[in-house]
Amino acid sequence: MTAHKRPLVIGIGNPHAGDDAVGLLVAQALRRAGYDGEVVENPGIAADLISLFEGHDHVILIDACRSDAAPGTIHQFDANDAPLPPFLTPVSSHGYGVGEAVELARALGMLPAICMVWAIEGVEFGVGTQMTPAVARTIAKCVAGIGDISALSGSLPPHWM
Amino acid sequence: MTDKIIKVDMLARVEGEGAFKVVVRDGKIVGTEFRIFEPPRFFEAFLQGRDHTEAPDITARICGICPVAYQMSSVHAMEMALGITVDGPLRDLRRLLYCGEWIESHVLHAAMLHAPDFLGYAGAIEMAKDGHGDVVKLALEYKKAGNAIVSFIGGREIHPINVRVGGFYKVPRKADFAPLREQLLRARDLAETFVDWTASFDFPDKERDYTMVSLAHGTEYPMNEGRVVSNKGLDIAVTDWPAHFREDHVAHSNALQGFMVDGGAYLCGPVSRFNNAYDQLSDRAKAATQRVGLPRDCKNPYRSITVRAVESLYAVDEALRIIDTYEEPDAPFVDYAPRAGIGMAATEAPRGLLFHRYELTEDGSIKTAQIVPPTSQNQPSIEQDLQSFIADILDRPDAEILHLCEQTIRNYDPCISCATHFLELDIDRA
Repeated sequence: MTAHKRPLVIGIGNPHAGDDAVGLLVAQALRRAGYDGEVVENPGIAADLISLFEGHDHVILIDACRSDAAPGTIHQFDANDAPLPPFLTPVSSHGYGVGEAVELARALGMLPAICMVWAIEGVEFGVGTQMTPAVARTIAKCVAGIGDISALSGSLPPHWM
Repeated sequence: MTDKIIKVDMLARVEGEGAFKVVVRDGKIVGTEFRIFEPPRFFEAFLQGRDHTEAPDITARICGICPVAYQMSSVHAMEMALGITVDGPLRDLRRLLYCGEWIESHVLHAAMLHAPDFLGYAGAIEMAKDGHGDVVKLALEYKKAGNAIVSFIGGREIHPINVRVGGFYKVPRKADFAPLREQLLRARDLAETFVDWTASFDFPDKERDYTMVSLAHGTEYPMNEGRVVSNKGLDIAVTDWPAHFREDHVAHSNALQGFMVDGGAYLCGPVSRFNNAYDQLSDRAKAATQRVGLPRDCKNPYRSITVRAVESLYAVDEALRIIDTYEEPDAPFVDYAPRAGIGMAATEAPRGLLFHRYELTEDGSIKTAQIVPPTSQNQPSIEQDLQSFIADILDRPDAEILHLCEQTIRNYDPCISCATHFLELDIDRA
């Protein structure tokens, strides 16, 4: 199996805003774990996310979110199933983020055939704050989860199994 | 892991919503308060005690859209403190990097965020669904040219890592520019179309007599250096900035607001640059300006969308000029020894003048840092725009007033502007 056939994983967030960094940290942990697919970090710029989709038929987007769910809850959405919920429309600093990227890609016919969005429930998003422990614990779960998905379509390095 | 959809109704990365309060008495506006989020204050404290070499990478994190601006203002200020000058090809490469950021930022804002206001859509998604998909795709393709520059010079598209005090960690070989040059030539055609598109909108017929502040450089459109000038006669060295401008706390916001020392509001950003430095635009950018009828003396802030398109076209032109004249430097950076000192610099972020001031100790660590972003400087002007421009529509439904307020604020491309509906409008009609 060639590397490009593994899902493209896009970790999204702000490294200086508490739980908002979790998408970026998942991407970094994935690289350290030896994931041999493409891994990208992005602050959540919709236009860039759509450009990243090009040439990929399987994409996993990982971002933080905030709702009344327990911190560390991992919400999963199949973007091709239905429109994403409103929470994926962030009011980030120029973010115009994941929700818009998916819906704009859908409107333009540029949505990957498989486009999963994993939204990790956070609670602390202030600039300069620390990540909530429950959110930090999701990083390993996400890395394992991506390994599981990849395992469905090809052989994996031994440490994934 | 579960595969369950849970309703979530709040937003990630909520860095502060915009709020605008209008107090109306006897049919007239007697007070306005505008509040938005302002991130750099955390970073000013965060920088204290850090080594000066860390400033470019740390300040680049302040904004996902304009990291280059923060890097450029920080390295220029550090170089003043350290007593070194970066010129020749290294200076050109910095300007090229800035061109990339202008293209990225301007095209994103104009096409995805501001254009829907003029065309009557809630956002770019609705615009794309309703017959404007081709122009959205054009903008995405056009923006890629800016990303390509930043990636090529900066090392990666987001938060470039190749910038350092004194120059760069690595510089490209001349032969390596060929693919980027081809991409920019294609982008130039897109840029021309984009100017025409933004100029085809209906613009609110509103003007104000702004004090327009920007850098000015005798021979080039302002980006990395120059004197601080205004259309009202200001002409000072950047080092005199603290004597002519100030930041005030205002009661209704925890963000600082920028004023001239006499208390007057001022405008910085594309419209100010365009008015103050029109003569330094490329011939192609000037021709596009004339073709679409953009007034040379532009006081209508809603036309900022076209000014951004013109500046983006200029940035493509300028990038090509730099690439075509590039000669590989002898070394990727100017070497130096740390020393105590004070350094200041202003550069032109896409959304306006970005001032940095640092005080360094003998070992080169940062004693104090001051960062004055364009959005805080423009806040008083935004308040005055809102007060002035909605005065004659106060009898209209709140939704209509809100639309004009958001459209007006987006003229400035402030940090908060990316949200489709970001403004909490409170009209106190007593």
